[in-house]
Amino acid sequence: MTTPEMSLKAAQVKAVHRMLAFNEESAATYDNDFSLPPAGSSNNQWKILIYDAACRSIISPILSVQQLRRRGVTLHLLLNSEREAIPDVPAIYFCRPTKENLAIIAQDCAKGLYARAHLNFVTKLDRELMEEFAKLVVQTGSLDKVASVHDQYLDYVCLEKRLFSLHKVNSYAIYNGSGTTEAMMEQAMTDIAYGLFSVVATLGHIPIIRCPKGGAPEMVARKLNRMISEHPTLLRNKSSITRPLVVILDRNADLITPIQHTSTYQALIDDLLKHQANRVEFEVVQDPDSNRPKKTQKRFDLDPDEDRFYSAHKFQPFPEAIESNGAELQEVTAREQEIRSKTGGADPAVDPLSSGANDLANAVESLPALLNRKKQLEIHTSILQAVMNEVAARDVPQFYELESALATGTYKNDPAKAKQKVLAFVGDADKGSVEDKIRLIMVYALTTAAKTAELDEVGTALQQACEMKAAQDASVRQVLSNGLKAISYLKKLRSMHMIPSAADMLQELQATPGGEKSSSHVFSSLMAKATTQATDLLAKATDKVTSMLGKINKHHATVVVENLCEMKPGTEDETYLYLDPKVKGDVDVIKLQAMTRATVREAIAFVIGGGCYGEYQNLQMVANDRRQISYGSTELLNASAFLSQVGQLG
Amino acid sequence: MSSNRTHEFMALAQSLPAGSPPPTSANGKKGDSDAYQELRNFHTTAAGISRDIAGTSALLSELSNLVRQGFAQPQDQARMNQLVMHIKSQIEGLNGRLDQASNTMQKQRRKVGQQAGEEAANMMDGLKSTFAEAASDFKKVLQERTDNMKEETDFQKQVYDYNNADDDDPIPNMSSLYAPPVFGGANSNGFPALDLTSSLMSPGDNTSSLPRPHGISSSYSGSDIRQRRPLEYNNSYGSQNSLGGSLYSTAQPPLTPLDIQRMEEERGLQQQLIPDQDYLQQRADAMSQVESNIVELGTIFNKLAVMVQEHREMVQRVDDNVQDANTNINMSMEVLTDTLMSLRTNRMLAFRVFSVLVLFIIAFIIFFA
Repeated sequence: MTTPEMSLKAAQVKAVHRMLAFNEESAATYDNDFSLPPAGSSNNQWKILIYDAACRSIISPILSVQQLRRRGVTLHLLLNSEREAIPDVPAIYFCRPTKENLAIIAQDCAKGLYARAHLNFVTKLDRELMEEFAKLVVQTGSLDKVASVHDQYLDYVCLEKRLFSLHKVNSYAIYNGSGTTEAMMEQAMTDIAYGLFSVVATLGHIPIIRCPKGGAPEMVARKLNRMISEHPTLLRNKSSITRPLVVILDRNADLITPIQHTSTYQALIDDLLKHQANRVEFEVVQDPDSNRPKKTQKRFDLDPDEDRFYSAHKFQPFPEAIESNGAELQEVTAREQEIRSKTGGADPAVDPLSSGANDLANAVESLPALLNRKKQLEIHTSILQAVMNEVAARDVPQFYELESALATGTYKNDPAKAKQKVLAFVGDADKGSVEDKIRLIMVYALTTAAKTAELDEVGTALQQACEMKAAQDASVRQVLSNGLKAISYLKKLRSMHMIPSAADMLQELQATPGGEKSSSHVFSSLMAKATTQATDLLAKATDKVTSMLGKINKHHATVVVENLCEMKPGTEDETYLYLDPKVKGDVDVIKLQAMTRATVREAIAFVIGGGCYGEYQNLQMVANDRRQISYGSTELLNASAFLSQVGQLG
Repeated sequence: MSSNRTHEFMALAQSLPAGSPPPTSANGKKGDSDAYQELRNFHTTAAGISRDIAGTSALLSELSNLVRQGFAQPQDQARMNQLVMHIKSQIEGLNGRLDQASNTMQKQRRKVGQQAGEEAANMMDGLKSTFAEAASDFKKVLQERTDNMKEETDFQKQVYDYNNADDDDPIPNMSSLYAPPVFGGANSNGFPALDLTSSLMSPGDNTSSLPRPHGISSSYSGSDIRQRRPLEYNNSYGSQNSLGGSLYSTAQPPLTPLDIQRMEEERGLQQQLIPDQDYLQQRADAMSQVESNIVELGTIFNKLAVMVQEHREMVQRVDDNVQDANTNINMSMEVLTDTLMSLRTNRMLAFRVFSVLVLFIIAFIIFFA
């Protein structure tokens, strides 16, 4: 029985392990790799794993080569590569059910490369494709080579315990572009629904689906609803008391979050350094003082769950992360010195009968673990260093402050001042790169009700400021033109009222100041009036304090998810659709509110059109011991990637 | 959770018209098929080894359960000894077979295709690492067992010390008489050794298969008690044999009256404890066996340590080599093109390079012609 607390990643790993055990029903599940029977025995045969590129990106974050070997996989190959015959070894194929892949597999069976082929498709294999494949296989007479066919429903990439992505390239541009036909949209939405279905199927519980009315989220939600209710086995399974809540959101509901500058460690890494699938790359200049400073490329694989330091500090604001790193490194070094001195001058005659030597043995044994930890911390030190360099070079904190001030409505009553500040930043040639300035302008456009004329003014200021740089550097020119296109796209959206107006967003963000459980509707208006004055002053004071402490305010997605989880009346809880696969038709939430509803233990927030680490981190703010929140999106973008997609549309 | 479409597929396939049988494809060249036949044999041997490792692990877990129970009963002791011997012989056998299989695999590797060879090599690696784990688990269990026995004898010592507390104790380690000493003086407790089990130490010595009532062999004890070896922690397993041997070979000094008196005292105390001799005897047996096993396995462990070290750093990502290869190729391309460019543009450089080459060839010919 999967406990409600089993994370998405663990569930996926378990499913992959079962696949590697040939999907046998009797396959026992092993809690960790060490209780496995040795590879090659009857419960853990040797096998070859063959995957295609998409499935490789699914497997590589969750299983290392070492772990594959323990499960008996002696060789892992790409489907499209040249493969030689390795007789009498079973092969496990794990790939997408496309025509090309099936043709290659049929060829393999005809050539007799491997003993038996166990086919596992990452999502549903269509009936027509299956027929074609059957024809191919029967024609070449190699039917006996095909041992089994399974649909694995694992069509998502799980980067961390609670973060997943469907790896749909260029999703925002496609879904919102004018060139997309009805049919293409339909197909894209079906793909997304299948991806979400995989997530739900892996977790094994039937969810409750909520989404805003209209647009892409409703399409996807209804498709998902239908898929779950039509799938025979899922419905037959356990009906758990706690059902996960799937919230489907559209990127257009909150364009600020992916563009904003961030201040937390993980989000900063994703924003400033090259970061892809938990792998970080950056340049380090060694000997900056010598004549020819050598630049080396450094590459690190980060494990957000196993790495002690990273998992503890990835959501913390940057300065705190630096501090903790320094402190931990000191502690570890001190302990290492202690051990080294103990082993160096050990006194054998002291008390050999007692645990003296035991202590010694323990100390020596713990030394490698300690050294390992030190190495990890040092990796983080160098990453922090690289981020620090970027942050200093681009003056990121200032941009961040101004943007969060704009976003929280500090300048709500004072638009002129806001514009002045923005102009100051944009006009200053030293501050930040072109992209940073473009992001600032976009946030400004989204958060204030600035008129088009004002935006144009800011735009021209930007162009002037970047003239010099643009003349020299083609890439800067590219970025600049892209950015300007993005700004014009925003203007278009605003005129079409496709995005919520700035006022609405600010309203939301202010409605739930950090941490306060909103029971304000219980208070009478009298009390409210009396306290308004005091709270205003207090709010101003706390704002100052929190901004000094580096507190982060809640983004749109966080607010929505929190409202839905806590079922607050008068919020999205009432306006959003409520779909229950067990029940036919829509459910009327108003009626439901009269009854007591089960508390939400697990929520999955999904954004169509591109998610970002900043949003992921923000969501975790409303997660606690009793409520787990996972986050996923069609693809994970950082600000520059998102900007380029928006620029495509402008 | 996955959905099984095998039946659907099979039904579909059955309904289609049968096609032509597969051509005899990969078995064209005879040499190839021989190599593949050998590969098949290798797979079967490897599977056999793996099964045996699994069996050994099962025995090992039984042994560790017994050890973990703490103060064990005599029948458990016997079973433990039996298990230890069994596991030890299995491990030695497996080691030999692994070596053999590894050698065969190296020879085969060149004959079969690259991927097949890689697969075989990975299989070998996997087997070796599981074997290394099993062996190191065995070592841990043995160590635990030794620790347990040491604790037990400590406990015994305390108990009997308490009993003899009022004795004038010029010989603080009197209670060591009850200890199961094995090799000379430096057994795990460091108690002066009394020879309760001489049979294990000197293979040629068949003076006592049964312990003598006073358990003291003539001149041996006196010197020991006088010597009162310093207490050493027993972490040098390899030195056991040598110590025992050396003790026997040293000449014993003549007994003084004081010694004789002490011996009488010991004898008296000894007789109180004759009923327990058997129990202690067994324990001594076990202890000695454990330690001898560890000595013999020492060599195997060393080899394994080397093996494990080689395979330690296998933390890789699945898509690593592709990217690595890509970067390498790109970098090498760059370097090569750079060299080419510089060579092309710089005639002098090219001239110089060639002249040096020619010089070397001439020198080579002259000196080796």
